[in-house]
Amino acid sequence: MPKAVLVDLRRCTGCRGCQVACHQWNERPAEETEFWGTYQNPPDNTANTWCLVRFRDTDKGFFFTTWRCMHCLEPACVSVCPTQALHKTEEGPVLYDETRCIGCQYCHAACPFDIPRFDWEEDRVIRKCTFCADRLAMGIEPACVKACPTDTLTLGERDEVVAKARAEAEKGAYVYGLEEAGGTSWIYLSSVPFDELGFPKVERVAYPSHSLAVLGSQLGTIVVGGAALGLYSLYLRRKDREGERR
Amino acid sequence: MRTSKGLFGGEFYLLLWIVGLLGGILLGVIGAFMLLTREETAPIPWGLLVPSYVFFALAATGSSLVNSIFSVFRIESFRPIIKRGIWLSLVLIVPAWIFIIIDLGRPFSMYNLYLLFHPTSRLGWMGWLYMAFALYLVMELVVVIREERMTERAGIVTGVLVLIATLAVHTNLGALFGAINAKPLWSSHFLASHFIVSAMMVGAVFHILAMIVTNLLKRGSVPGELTQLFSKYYAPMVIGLIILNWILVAGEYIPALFNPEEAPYAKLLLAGPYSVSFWLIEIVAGGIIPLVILFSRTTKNKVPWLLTASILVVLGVYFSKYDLLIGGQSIQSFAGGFISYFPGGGEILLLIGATAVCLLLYTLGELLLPLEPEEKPAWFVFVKRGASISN
Repeated sequence: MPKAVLVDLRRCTGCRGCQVACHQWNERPAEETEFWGTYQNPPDNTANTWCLVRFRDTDKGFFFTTWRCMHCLEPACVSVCPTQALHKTEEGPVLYDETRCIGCQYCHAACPFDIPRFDWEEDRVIRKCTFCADRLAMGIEPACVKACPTDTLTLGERDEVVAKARAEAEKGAYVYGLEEAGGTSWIYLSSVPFDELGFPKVERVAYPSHSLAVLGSQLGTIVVGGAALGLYSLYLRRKDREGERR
Repeated sequence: MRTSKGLFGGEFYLLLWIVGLLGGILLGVIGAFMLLTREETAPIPWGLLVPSYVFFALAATGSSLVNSIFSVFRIESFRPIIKRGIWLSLVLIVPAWIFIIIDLGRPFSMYNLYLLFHPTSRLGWMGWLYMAFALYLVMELVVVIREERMTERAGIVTGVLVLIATLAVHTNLGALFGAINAKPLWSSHFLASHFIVSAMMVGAVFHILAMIVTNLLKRGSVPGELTQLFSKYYAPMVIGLIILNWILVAGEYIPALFNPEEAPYAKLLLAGPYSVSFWLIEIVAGGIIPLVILFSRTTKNKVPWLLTASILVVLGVYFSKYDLLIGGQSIQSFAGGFISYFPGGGEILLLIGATAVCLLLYTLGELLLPLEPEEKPAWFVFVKRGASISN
C-alpha cells in the first residue's frame, strides 16, 4: 500500500527538528549560510537541504512550512528524465539512481514544486528527499516525521491520509496535495489559503497527461508544417513559371 | 588560379581570420573548463547555454527547411544555394551540441542518453533525432555534391529524409519546453509552431548572410543571380515569417496576461526586467526594421541593407529565445519572488568559442568542399581539388 504524510501546518512551531533530522539521517553536510532577514535558513532547498522550514509573514500572522519533494503520484521528474534515473516506487517514494544521472537538470526544470537540485560541489548528481525509503523498508517512519515534536507530520497509508485530509477540509481547513499535479504523497492542511503561504500554484493535472496532449499537437505540427512548406513551394513554382513566360 | 578581388583572395587575411577563430576557440576551451569544474549553483537550472543551444538548433533546422524548397520540392531558383545551405545546416548544429554537452552536470555519462533511452522524455528523443538529422544531412550533402553521378530520385529521397528529421527535431524541441507545465510561460501547444516559424526565419537570414559574406570575401561582389533570389524569394518569405511570428507571440503573451499563473511571467517580458530586450531587440530591431528594409523596393535589392536586415533578425531571434527561456524560469516557484540571473564568464566564453568553431568549420568547408554551384568534386568522394577559398 502506498504511504503518505499528512502535514498539518496549524501545529508547526518552526522548530526545524525535521530539517536537522533530515540532514542527520541522510548524512548531508550543514549549509554555510548567513542571516538574511528572516527565520528561514538557508533561503531555498538545496542539494544538501532536502527538507527546509520556510517562513512566511502574512496579515494573518506568521507561518512555518516544512517543504520538500511531494512524491507525486505521477511525477513529472520521472517522466522527463532522459536516462530513467528517477522512478516511482509502489510504496510512494520517488527515488533516483545516481549512476544513471547525466546532470541535464530537466527534472528540476519540470518539477512543479521546484525540488530536485544538482549537487555541484560534491558528487555532481541530482539530489532530493527520498521519503526515507530506507527507513520505510525497515518499517519505521521518515526521520523528519520521527523528529517532529508537535505531530505536524504523521505517516499513514495514503487512503487513510486522504480521508483525514478530506474530513479536516469539511471542518474548514485548506488542503494542498490532493489534486495538485495529479495528487501527491505529502498532503498539507492549513488554516489560511495556500497561496497566502506562497505555495506554488500547480495545475490539477499530472505532467504525463499534459505531455501526451502536447505530443498530439507535435504530430499535428509536423503534418501542418510539412504541408505549409509544400504549398509555399507550389506557389514558388508557379511564380517561377510566370517569370519564365515573361 | 586567383581571379578573386575579395579580402580572402590574398592568403594573409584568410590566415588572419583562421588565427582569430582559433583564438576564439581557445577562449571557448577556457570557458568549457570553467564550466566543467564549477562548484557554485546557478540561480536557475538552465542558463545562457540553453537559449544558445536552442538558437543554433533552430538556425540549423531552419536552414534545412529552406534547403528543402529545392531538395524536396525542386524549385530551381533555389539550386544555387543548396550545397552551401546544407553545409551551413551541418555547421550550425555543432555549437548547439557543444552547448548542451558542456551544460550537462555529468557530460562524461552522456552515453546513458543512448543506453538508457526513456521514450517519455523529450530530451531522450533529442539524442537520437539529432543523430538522424546530422546523418541524413551528410548523406544529402554527398548526393548534392555528386549530383552528376546520382539520380534525381536519390536527391529527393535524401531531401525527404532530412525534411522529416528536421520537422521531428523542431517539434520535439518545441515540446521539450512546451510540455513542461511547471513553467507557465513555456507550457503551450503552440510552442512547436512558434519554434518552426522563428527557425525558418533565422535559417533564411543565415542563408542570406552566409552567401553574401562568402561572396564578398571571395570575389568582392555578390552575383546578381543571388541578390535577385534574396529580394524576390527570401525577402517575402522573411516578411511573412516575421508577421506570423508576431501573431504567434501575441497569441501566447496577450492571453497570458489574463491568466493568473502566466501573468507574472508575461509581465516580466512586456513590462518588467526583460521588456527592453523584448520591445527594442525582439520587436523593433528584430522585426519592424527588417520588415521595412525587406519591404522597400529601394533597399531589398541592396547588399548592405540585406546584410543589415539579416543581422537584425538574427539578434531578434536570439534574444526572443533568451527572453522566453530565461524569463520563463525567473520567478520562484515558492512565494513567487523574482530570480535575477546574469550569464557567468564561463558561459560567455563558451558562447564565443562555440560560435568560432561554427565559423571555422564553415571556412574549412569553403576551402575543401565544392560548394559553389559550378564546382565539382575531384577526389575522396566529395572534396574539391586544391584547397583554396578563391576560385
